[in-house]
Amino acid sequence: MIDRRTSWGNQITLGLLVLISISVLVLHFREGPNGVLHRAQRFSVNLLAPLQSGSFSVTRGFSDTWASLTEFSRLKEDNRALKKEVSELRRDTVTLKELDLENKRLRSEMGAPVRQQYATVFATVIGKSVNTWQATVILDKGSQDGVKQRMPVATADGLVGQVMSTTANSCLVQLIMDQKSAVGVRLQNSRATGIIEGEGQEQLQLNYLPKGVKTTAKEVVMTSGLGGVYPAGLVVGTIASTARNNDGLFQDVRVSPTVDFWTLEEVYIITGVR
Amino acid sequence: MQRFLLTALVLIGTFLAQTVLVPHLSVAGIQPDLMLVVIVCFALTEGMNMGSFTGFFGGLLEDLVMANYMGFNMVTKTIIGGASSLLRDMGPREGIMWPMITVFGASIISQAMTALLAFLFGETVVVRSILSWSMLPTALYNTLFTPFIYPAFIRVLKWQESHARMQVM
Repeated sequence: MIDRRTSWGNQITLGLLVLISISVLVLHFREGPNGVLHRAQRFSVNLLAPLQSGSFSVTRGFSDTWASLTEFSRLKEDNRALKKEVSELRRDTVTLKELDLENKRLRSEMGAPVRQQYATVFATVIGKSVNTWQATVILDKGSQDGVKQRMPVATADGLVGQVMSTTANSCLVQLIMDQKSAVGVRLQNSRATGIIEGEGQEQLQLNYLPKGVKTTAKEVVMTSGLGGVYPAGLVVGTIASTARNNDGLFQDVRVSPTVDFWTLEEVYIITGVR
Repeated sequence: MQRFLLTALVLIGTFLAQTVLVPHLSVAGIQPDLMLVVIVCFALTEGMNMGSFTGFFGGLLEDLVMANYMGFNMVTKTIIGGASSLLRDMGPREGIMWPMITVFGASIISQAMTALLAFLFGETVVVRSILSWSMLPTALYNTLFTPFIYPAFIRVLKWQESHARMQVM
């Protein structure tokens, strides 16, 4: 008798909790961004950000120590290769400075506007999405640091994504591999434009590239600046494969992102034009 | 009180591991759902009430911090927590096989529920993603984690019980 009563009690508890959950879901969907639940979400993100940041530092410390132990034999070789690369980059920097000055001079002679430089805020990844169908990360910079919604996020390797929401000291970033992400892009050689969409997987899908456009393997794909979120010229990836279907007007192009999203740790947020 | 604190610690610890550690274990975009595995462990060892409550609060924790729609994880994880406890007495108490089977089934049902909710909220991309490629690999990945999590979970519970008994004595 008591068992049956307990069992009924448990089922009623379960039913009530499910009902509360559904009510929260509907309420959150219907209310605006300043509603109670949205504010509760922002408050919790703020509250848990230091905890996540601490955990991230600890795991990073472990992985760095492990990596330095296991990769010790490779370090000498890497060091030699990096020294060679640094000397090559130094030489390139001198050439690029010359070209930059020449470009500025020619642009001013032609009356063309000078290329924009961007103000940035550096941020550290302190959390990553909890499910497979969402590709997002949490950064340790928020509205207090001048971060706003829809600001582009990148690394030295290339484009990462855009800020979806902010709290005082953190922000949520949608990665370009997220299935809802779409980025206007341009191919470096052919200058043809298309739209890159995420699929939640390692490679990205380049859509709306006409069949007539010639593509080469490893060709660089950059942001086109069309669409208003991402500035032009940020590297997105390189072409991995191209397939020309008999049907349709467009090619089926796969792009490998230059950013390794699985090991993403430090990024910069483009906060404005300098 | 001690049990409550331990449960809260386990849930927060799992959540932190899910957001900080698990992304490093991602294979082709698929990552295990540690929170789901822990909730099923609670349900199988502690019964329906504990399964429902841990599902509710575990889902709430995830929804508060990461979700586009608050309530998605709360709904699915509460139901999973409650429903998994029904399988508690259907399989052998000893061994790891039954928890693994339960986690596999719970993962499939959890993803199916997420796909259904996503469909109701017009998130067709999410539905396509779950049904076309992530459902089965995620369930298998969760199942592979069970032999590591379930025994550790049992050990923590046993430690807590013996600790509580000693305090009473």
